[in-house]
Formats: sequence, structure tokens, C-alpha cells
Amino acid sequence: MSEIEVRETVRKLVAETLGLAVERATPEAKLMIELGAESIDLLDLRFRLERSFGFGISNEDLARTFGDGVTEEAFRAALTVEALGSYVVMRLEAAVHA
Amino acid sequence: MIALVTGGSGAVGSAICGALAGRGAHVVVGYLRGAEAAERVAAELRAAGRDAAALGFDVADPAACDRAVRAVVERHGALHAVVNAAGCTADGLLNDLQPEAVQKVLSVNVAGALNVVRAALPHLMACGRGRVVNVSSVLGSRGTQGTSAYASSKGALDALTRALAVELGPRRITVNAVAAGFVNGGMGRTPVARMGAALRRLVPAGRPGTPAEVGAVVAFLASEDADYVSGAVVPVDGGMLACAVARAGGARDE
Repeated sequence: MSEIEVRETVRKLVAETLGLAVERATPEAKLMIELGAESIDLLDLRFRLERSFGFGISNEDLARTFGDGVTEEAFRAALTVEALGSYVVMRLEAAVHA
Repeated sequence: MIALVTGGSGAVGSAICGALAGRGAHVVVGYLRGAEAAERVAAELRAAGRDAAALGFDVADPAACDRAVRAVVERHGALHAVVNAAGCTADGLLNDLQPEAVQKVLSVNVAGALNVVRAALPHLMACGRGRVVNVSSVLGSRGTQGTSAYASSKGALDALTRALAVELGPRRITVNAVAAGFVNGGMGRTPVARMGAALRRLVPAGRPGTPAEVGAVVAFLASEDADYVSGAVVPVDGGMLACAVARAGGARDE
């Protein structure tokens, strides 16, 4: 899967999880602030990402990527569709090099 | 499929465990007091080639439910289905009912179901096709004297079934209930005996149901085949809920 395809899949999964038209999941859209995601949605999304891409995502992992040492508010602001896509791309690359 | 059945040691609960195993599920037989019966159910399933284990915990205790679900997932690696079959009753006319007894019925039958589903929720979501089946009763939607505590708990369980079906549907979890009628086994044995021949006037099928007949419908609702069924309270009652007027008694009934 190319990087573009990966990012597109992430967009699709975000939209699917939140019950939105895929057009609303723009790269810069903030999941929690703009798209209305709640904690249970993030959990659901995490499982969908795991199933789609075949790697496990731990809480520690997410915290390291998006919110290590930052406030809840900063985490919510940092969690965009694009950032999530980058995280998945990074994980897939790490798996290739492992 | 890995299924957790609360109240799995009872007559209906153990029949549900058997029916789930018959559809290929690995079953965790939840119990509170029936340790021996639960172990027996699990042993029978293992003898039939299924992975099964008994697990004691109180559904009315949220922390115990969390621990139980964790134990299931540690052992089996996943949890796909929860069947809330744990239940108790406090029968009697209103002025004879002890408030503590009423509270206990609600704690086990209603809060218990919520506690178990809440504990299982991340795993039901993670598996991609989670199942919740609640064992309710015809008394959830029809009244009879002396059952106010039990009937209100089952009515609440029906409402909970619909509300959770809506809430968890987008998470690919189905939530359904069976409304058991007169069942000859477990808690139902006394009402069946009390009704005697009069049962034939209330139940079009003309006989009480068996625990296995309830188990079969529960196992279907927990299966992949029922993926598009959610929020339903399915009667397993020999047609009792469909009946507008009880049949007149005849010589056969006396």
C-alpha cells in the first residue's frame, strides 16, 4: 500500500467510525474538536486501524506520539486526520525496517 | 467465538452454554453460587471438545465484572459475545416485598447486565462483530400480580437492550434480548407448576418451553447469522405474547 493509499484508508476509517461523509475528514480536521469524536470513538478507531493495518496500538504508543507530557487540550488539538495518517505511515515503515 | 454467559450454572444458562458450544463457541460459564453446577457445565462442554471454563463473579459488582472480563481475555485472547443470563427474583405482593429484595433484583437483573457489557465493551468493539444477548421475560412487557420487582427489572432490561442497540450499533455490536415465557426449568419451574393445566389457555403452543429452546434462540442471536438483528426482544414463549385473550377453559383443563 502506498503512502497515499494509507492516508486515504485512515481518512475513510475516521469517517466510518464517526459516521461522517468522507469529505468531512479533511487532513487538517481535528478529530475531537471539529469532528465530534469522543473517547469511545477513539477506542473504536484504534481497533479499526489495528484490523486494517495489522499492528497493535497501545495507549503508551499513542501518548508518546501525540501527547507525551502535553495537556489534554494539546492532545485534542494535535489529533488531526493528517497526524493520525502520519502515525500509521510511521508504524508501517517501522515494521518494514524491523 | 468466545462467549461469556453470566448465570451459566442455572437451567436456562447452562442450556445457553450448550447451544453456543453447539455453534462452535468457546464458552466461559459465569456463576455466583452454583460453582459445582458451573464446573459440571464446563466439564461437559470440554468433553464435547470445546474450550470451556467456569468463572465465579458477582455481576452486581462492577469491579468484579472488570476482573472477570480481564480473566476471560487473558485466557482466550478475545471476547466476542456476552449473554446476560444471571437473574434473580423476589416474588410477592407489593406490601410483602422487602425494599432490600427489590434493590437486589434490580442490581442483578438490570445493573448487572450493564456492568458486564461495560466491562466487555472494548473487547466487543475490538473483535469487529460484538454480540450482547439479554435473557428477559414476557413479564418485561406484560403484567401479572406478585411479580412487580421481577417484571420491572425485565422491562428495564428490554429498554436497556434497545438503548444499547442504538448506542453500540455504530460500533458493530448487536444487542438483543429473548423474552422467555413459561420455561420448565430453573426459576420457571415454580410458575409452571403453579399454572398447571391452566397454562394451556395462556400459551398457544399448549406446553411450557424448555431451557434448550431458549438456548437455541440466544445462540442464534449471538451468531454471525444474526448480524442484521439488533434491538429486538424476541419472544420464546410458545406464542403467549401474541395472545389477546386467553382461551376459555374446557373440560380438558380441569
